[in-house]
Amino acid sequence: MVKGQVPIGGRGKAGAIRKALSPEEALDAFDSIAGMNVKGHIVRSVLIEEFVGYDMEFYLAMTIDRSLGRPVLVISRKGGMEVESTDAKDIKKIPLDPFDGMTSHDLEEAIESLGVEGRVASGIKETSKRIWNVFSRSDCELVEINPLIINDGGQVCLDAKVIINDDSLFRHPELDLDVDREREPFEAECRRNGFSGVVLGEGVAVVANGAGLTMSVLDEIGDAGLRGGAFLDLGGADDPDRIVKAITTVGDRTLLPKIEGLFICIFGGITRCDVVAEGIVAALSVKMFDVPIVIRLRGINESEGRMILENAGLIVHSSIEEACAALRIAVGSRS
Amino acid sequence: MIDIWKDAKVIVQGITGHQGGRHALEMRSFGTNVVGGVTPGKGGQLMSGIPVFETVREVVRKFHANSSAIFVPAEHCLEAAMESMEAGIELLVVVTEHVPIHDAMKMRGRADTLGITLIGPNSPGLAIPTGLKIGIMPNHIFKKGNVAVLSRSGTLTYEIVNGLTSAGIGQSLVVGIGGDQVVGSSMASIANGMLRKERPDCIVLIGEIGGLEEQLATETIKGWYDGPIVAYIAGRTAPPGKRMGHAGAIIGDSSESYPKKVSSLSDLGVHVCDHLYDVPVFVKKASY
Repeated sequence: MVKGQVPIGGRGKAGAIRKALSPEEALDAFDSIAGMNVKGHIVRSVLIEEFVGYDMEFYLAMTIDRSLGRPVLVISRKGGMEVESTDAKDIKKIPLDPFDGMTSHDLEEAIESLGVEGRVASGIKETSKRIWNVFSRSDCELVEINPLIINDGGQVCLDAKVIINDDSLFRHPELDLDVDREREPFEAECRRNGFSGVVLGEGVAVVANGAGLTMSVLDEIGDAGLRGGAFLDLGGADDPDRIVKAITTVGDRTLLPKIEGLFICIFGGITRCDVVAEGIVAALSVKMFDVPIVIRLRGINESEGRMILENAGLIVHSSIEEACAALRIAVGSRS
Repeated sequence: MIDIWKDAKVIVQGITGHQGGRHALEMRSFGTNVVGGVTPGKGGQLMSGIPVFETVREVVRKFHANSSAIFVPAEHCLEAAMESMEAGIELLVVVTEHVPIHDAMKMRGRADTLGITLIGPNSPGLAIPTGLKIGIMPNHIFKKGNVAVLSRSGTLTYEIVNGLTSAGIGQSLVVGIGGDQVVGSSMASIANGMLRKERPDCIVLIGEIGGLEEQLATETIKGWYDGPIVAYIAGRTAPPGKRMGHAGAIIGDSSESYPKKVSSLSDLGVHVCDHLYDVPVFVKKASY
């Protein structure tokens, strides 16, 4: 089996997993898979392993149920590529206590739902305990084995996926992860500076404070007939240097080559608008944008902030819809 | 649960930090009874007139503190939350961002076992405009009134509350449950615990794509409330697969998209606003 290694599902369908019956076929498969683009991820490594035949296949995972706020063991007799579309009744979810972990009672329940016994049952129990250990020790959001297969030789994990919680990486230096390797350069640069950044494609870049507000501004941009191209969530913005850093990051053409405009949207709740305005003026004096810019400011010291920006020759809008309309005209007239 | 409208005696864990100290004073000027702060290793000092203690237990013993706002760094947050729950704090607001998700599950597990109201992590807190605020919401956006606002975000909540206030619509309670995947109280449990007796004129839900929070809250609220519910859901144009706050494994994905969320809320009789600036308009129409 020749398998392209990318941190995203759907590899089989994308043609990044192939079976080879001879060394020549394996080489051929390797050549076509290496460097392949799977949903935006370039295949940089390829795993070549023995083909394993099997009698039974299972899906086995530890994940988090956000409504319950608990770890859940997810188990099914129907493993394989299509587990996302498997009928809910064929999937058993067992919520666990975050302190106690996987108890023998939980394991009995899992085995009962699968209707297996003997060697198969004890194997699945053992593997379930192990995925709990990995899940809890390494602060995982997901540890998935799909499929777990049973054959004459015992059980084999044919494929696995692990998602480590970003917020827990600080306590896992032993994992030695290059967390930026698979990120867009813009997203990596944002992360390094303590911002949250996402690239969406060609369109308007949004700089705002707060994830909910940022999403909301992107929605309004969409309604105005424009596309959202990227966003940067400043988080706390009471430091003008952070505003400068955010705006110069968005304005860096090597990071975001396809932006059509810039929308800066700040609600000064704790953050003061005059501090934000000083940051914007400083950033724009350093970095000349060749795309239209609109600014919308609301909140504490709004009028002082507005004055600072207007003195620098910038137009300030006080509502999001007004800013969107202005942006539409400005971007539209260019294309 | 304590009657927070009357009896909240609040401590600030991490009061000697920049955010903790600043917001302790902001809370106090809003009218909150901030009885003390806790920072291990810095007990005995005064922070702008607020006494600082070594442990939560001391300040609970001395001033009968029953509520806490936690501002300690993410890596110590679980420890701080456990300490205050074990010391008898009944209402806990965790403001800290980037708390490890397994720690959040443990906080929630312990709070559920002990019957403690946990709000957050990553929460802007709660405000009752008659004079209680626990958290970081800006003081100037509120107005006394009888509309309740339950939200999953921070600045978006401030925008909408500010919009309500500008339109002359006051609020009785505003709560941000926190934007993380796993938080303590859900919108549903806040509604059942804090709104049931108060019977607001209108309930506003500020949600976003991902999770089932808003649907579950509406179902439970409808059990005892026949007044208007107005919702706004952010992320209508967010492309699937991009992580805009959701790490969806294989659990319950399809019902978390924008169209599914809106249609299930509409089916339950909720008015879902397309734009955030429509919220005050519909609240006014629905409740006056």
